[in-house]
Amino acid sequence: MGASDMTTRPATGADTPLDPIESLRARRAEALLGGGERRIARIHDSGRLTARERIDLLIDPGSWMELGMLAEPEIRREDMPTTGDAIVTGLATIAGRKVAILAIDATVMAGTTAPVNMRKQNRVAEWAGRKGFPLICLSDNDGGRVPDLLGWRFSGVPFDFTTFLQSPDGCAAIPRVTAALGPSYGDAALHAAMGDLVVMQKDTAIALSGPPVIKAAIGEDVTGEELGGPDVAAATNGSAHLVVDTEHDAFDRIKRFLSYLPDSGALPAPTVAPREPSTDPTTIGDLVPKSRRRGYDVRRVIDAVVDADSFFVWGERYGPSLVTGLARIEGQTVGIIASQPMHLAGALDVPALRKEAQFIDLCDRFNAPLVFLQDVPGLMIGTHAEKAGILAGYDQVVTRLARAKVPKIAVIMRKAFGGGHIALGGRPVKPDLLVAWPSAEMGFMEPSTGVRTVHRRALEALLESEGEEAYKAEIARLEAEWGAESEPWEAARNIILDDIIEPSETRRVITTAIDFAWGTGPRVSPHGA
Amino acid sequence: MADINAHITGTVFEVHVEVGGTVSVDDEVIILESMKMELPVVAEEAGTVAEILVGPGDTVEAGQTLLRLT
Repeated sequence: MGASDMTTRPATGADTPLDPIESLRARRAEALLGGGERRIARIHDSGRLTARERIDLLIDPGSWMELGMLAEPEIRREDMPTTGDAIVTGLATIAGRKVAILAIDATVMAGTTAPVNMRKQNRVAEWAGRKGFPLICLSDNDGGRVPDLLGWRFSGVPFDFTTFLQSPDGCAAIPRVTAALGPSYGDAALHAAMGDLVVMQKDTAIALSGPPVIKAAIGEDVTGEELGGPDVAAATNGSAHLVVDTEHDAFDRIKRFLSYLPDSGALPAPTVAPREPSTDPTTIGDLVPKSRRRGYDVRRVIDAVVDADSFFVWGERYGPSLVTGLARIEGQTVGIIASQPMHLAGALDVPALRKEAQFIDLCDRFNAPLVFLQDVPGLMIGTHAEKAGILAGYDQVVTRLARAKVPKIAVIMRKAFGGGHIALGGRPVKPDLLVAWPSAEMGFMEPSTGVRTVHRRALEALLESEGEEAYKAEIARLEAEWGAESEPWEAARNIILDDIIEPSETRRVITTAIDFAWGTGPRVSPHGA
Repeated sequence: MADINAHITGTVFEVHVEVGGTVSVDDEVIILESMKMELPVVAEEAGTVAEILVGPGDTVEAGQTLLRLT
């Protein structure tokens, strides 16, 4: 049945007490109405849908099995509806695959959280974790409820973080998806923080506390948008991976995201019919300019590697000097990690590294091979990068990547310098295959920076004794010398590179390498299983 | 009528079009310079150049309109 459907209409007008079956029917009918018609109308007027309408848009028709429909809060209210304790939870299928859903009901007590509500959340989360299928949170929540959570009660909240925020011990990882469809403060923000995909409707906000609490506690006057709107959640702290215009768009993206992933990390990722790329893969070399100073949009390069219309960008606005996304190659799920020279020349800053670490973890838990397309001048340096924690960001990526057990294939298209090269599949992080195009440049640092660093004293002396012309000529000579050292041939002679390939061979080499890198066993990484 | 905007803050390095000239989808109309990189600004739709609002050496902000097409 659907989340809004009734099996049978309740009997009405009976003078005698209801018999137990009639009583159940009446209670169910009341639960289905949530906060009642007036509050439902108010939600609709604000442009939002109700929890049950959202569920029905997301799931296969007729697949809904509700759990906890008859819940009521510990502290009852006479003056307002409390049905379901402000949340709808249950099991259903999407495209024939099992999922668990918790949908916050903003028509009941503004969707606030209290102990029974938490128990319901925990129940479906444990179902998903123990049985091995995705958990989807549809969030629209003003935070914790008072007085239900005051005093000793807060310490006694019935959340179990060994099963709620992660799969129980010994159980496989499951995809966790959160859609922020209304303000998402408090517990809802917690769901967002643990999401493998967090999609937000553009008028919502994700934050630990909402504006009224902030005003009372620290005196800061701030709007929800300033606090956790898309410019913050999607572009500044990376809490949200996608921003969409409408709720319908959010459901489309959730369904699409799940289509790339297995039900749990214990299973191989699903495959679909292969498609040729939308851009002829043999033309890929023309998409990357020869001049190292010339930028380009790496999304066009990705289009020449992956199956047509298969790229699903993940975290587009956060750390944009790196493009991360799920895609398919020959019908099989892959994770693409590509330098984006249109931003910061492709240098990896802290947001790019944090995004990369999270994306590597996602791919390694859900059996998506990692494909790196490198054109990276290095890690971001300078005071801003240091204050933001560039060292920890780098450490987090390389330690996680080194231990990732899915196939790891790295292609150097142009620049491969310094820590940036290592963080994108360089030899120390144990790629299964590391290849370069003949135009690749490799090294500790970019030639222009390198010669000025290593020969600084000699160059300064030259500038003083023989003038600017001699100084510039010497820099050009040293850069040419350094550039020759940066060519990929010596790396291939020393087996640092496994091979040098023609750009037109890129898709074919990646496809074949992924196949061999899985070996002969099940296509599953132990990190998700 | 369509505006072509800067996608990043930087300086204008080269302008590849003239007023009255035609532009096709994916043409590199202007090259910006930022972070020591030359970054092409690409036309997302075809048209005729009605107005060019910047010249080489100008500093531009992300989102600023660079030229207008009709």
